[in-house]
Amino acid sequence: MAHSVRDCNLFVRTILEAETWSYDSTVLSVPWTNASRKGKLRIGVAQDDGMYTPTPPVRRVLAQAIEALSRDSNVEVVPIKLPDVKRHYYDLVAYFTLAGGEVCQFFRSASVLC
Amino acid sequence: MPPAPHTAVPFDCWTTASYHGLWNYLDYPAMVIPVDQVSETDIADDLSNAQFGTDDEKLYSLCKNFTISSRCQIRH
Repeated sequence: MAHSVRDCNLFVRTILEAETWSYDSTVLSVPWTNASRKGKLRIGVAQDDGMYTPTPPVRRVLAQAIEALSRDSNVEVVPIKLPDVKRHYYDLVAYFTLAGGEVCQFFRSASVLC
Repeated sequence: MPPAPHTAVPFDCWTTASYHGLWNYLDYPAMVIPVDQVSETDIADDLSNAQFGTDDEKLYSLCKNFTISSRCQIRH
């Protein structure tokens, strides 16, 4: 857990400049390019995911963060609406479960035989 | 967006991973930045604010008395 962006910068730069892909074939060969910022940073803000409403403290804190970001002239804050999260979430759960959750139905129907 | 729609919940009451699970599903890099602590001015408001149906209302109603130890975070 870093305390500043400078720390993160140093960490990633040190790791990438070590060129670890020469020693480990599973590492992606991404060299440190030291690219500089072009234009404004665009940040999309999703207030909620369309399935559950954030509670008051979470909403307040999000508003605080958006306000702090909007004050910076190098940052452009764009509100976004996440499309169809429900379907994607159930897809995700299907990936995480054994046989997409169908095994639960099997056990439920199998218990009728006992 | 927030990493969860709520702050800390009572034991065994966490119902959904739809907020942070989405970025997992898309394989996006993500990080969570702590912003603030829950304060006394945050009060549980009317259930009609829960916009998305009965599941949402159930989760929203868990937000009753806030303790100062809950922390609020945003996900980047």
